[in-house]
Amino acid sequence: MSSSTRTKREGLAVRAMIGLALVFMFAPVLTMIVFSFNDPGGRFNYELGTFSLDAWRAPFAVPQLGVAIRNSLIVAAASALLAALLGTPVGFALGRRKFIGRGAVSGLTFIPLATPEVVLGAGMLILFVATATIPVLKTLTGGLFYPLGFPSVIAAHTTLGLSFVIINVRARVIGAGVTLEQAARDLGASGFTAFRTIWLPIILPGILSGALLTFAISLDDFVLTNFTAGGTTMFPTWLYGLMRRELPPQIAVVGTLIFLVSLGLVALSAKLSGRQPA
Amino acid sequence: MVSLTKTAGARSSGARAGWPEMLPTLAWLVALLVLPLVYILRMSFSADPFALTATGWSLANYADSIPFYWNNLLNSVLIGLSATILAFAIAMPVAYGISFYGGRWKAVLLFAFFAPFLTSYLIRIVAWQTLLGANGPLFAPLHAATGLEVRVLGTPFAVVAGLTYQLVPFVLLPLYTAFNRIDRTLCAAADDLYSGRCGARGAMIGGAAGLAIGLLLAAVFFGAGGLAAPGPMLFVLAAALAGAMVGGTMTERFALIVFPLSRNGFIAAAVLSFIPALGDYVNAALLGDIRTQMLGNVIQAKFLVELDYAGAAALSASLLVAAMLLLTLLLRLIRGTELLDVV
Repeated sequence: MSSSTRTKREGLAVRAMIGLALVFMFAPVLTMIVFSFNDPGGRFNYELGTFSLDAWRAPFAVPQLGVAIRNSLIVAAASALLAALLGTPVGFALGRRKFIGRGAVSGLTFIPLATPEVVLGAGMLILFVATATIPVLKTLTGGLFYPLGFPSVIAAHTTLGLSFVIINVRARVIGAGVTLEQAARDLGASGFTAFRTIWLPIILPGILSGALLTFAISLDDFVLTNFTAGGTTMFPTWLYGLMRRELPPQIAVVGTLIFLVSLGLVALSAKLSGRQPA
Repeated sequence: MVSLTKTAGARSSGARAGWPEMLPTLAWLVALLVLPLVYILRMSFSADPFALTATGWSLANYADSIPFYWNNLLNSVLIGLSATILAFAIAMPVAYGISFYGGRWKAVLLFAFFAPFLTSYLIRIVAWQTLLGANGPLFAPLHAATGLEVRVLGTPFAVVAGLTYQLVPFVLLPLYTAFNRIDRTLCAAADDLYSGRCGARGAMIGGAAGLAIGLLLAAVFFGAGGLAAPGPMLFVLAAALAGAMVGGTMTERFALIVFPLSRNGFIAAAVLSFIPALGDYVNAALLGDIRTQMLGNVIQAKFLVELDYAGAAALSASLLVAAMLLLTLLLRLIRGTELLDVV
């Protein structure tokens, strides 16, 4: 058997695997879409009943659902903005220069990826509680983070998203622009002008995709939200509570809507950064 | 002369670390990333279990909680490990296939594996609840057609399935990146040198791996005590056979070139999948039953319901230390590259 038929067979085998894996990946998504058109006849949308467009006609007809989504969107937007602002300088420095302490800074960035989220969320929770019970911390924070609410959950989501902004910006900087910057400086450009005209266009796609990723992660996140949102009605934690009593088809509708909007955002971000998605 | 000094000036400013710009971010990361973890460690030694602030020093939290929740700890490790292995089994051929046979569909195919994650995390788990339910779209027709009663929801199998699903992209991305970096001329050279299939040796190694994985999965799915029944034994045998088949027919190109050259990708994938798996609790809460509860479930309940901060902190600290040990061990294996390059 020649080596080319062997590669052909291997190609066939891996293509079959990809096909099977895609079925596995999309089975829950298809289930969600199908069940958004379902009238289960009871309080729980787990079994197929009759076809119905009712949930699509009134997607927000569940009490508190609109509030939960609005709050989650506010938190996601605020976290994305904060993460972009805070993450950019570090990603830029990590990508451009070797300096003493660089390893420590990049290690700091790695922590959220290497810590079980439940531990991080728990740590944030008891720290936020401590800002109310320990006098020094209370004066320092002005009681902003306790009782838990928007500030605490935004702080938590920003921290998670920061790493992704840093990684994205860093990746754009590596190997780019240093000689251009030196040329600009040689021609008399100030440090700020050189940054604005040379670096900003290079790193902007990295900042945007990092911010979009933070937005998506924040919207999606259950664990940190569970620990840091307190009584604030956030979509994932609200849904978790609701599921004990009922699961209306509207949830599947909202899931489908989030899916479609996110697809649009990804397409937009791919267009912005001028390359293929992922 | 003037231009020379200017160049020198530009260079020295280029070599400046830029600490002032980084300071707010670093302060943020220390306050909200390092401090919480340090405070968890401190809280775990607190003397008063139900105080909201750490007071005094004691080892009682560890002595009380770890033996008591030993089964949950074991569940975290075994279920987490099973899901990680299955996620590798799915993502490895996919990453290899997309990277080597994807052609101009590479980006689209890769994206297709991430698209399902654009819905909400919780809604994905709800979809799994629906799919695996006894009266759901899979098993209700099966029951109607054959009379077979299948119970999957509320078993370890459902938890592993849900967790595996969640881990696939974390394994896929580092592997794909690593495979893509491999010099294709090496593979062409291997083909020229008549590289073939792994044959008997591959079958032996694959069979041994399949046996080990089959034993682990059987222990998780059927319980360590129930291994001796015919069903579980058949399952282990099938796993070993499948391993031998895959090992025997695997191309030498993959086993001898692609695999060794992408070691760092495999390590990154292991870190990025096993650590979230260790701490997960939502899959166990919604897809499992009381016997499949993981350490994360206990930690969550103690922090948010029972308000036993010190006991919960001791369990969290144990989980954190386990994750850190594993991380150090795995990162020891990565040499010559920086952490972030691999991710």
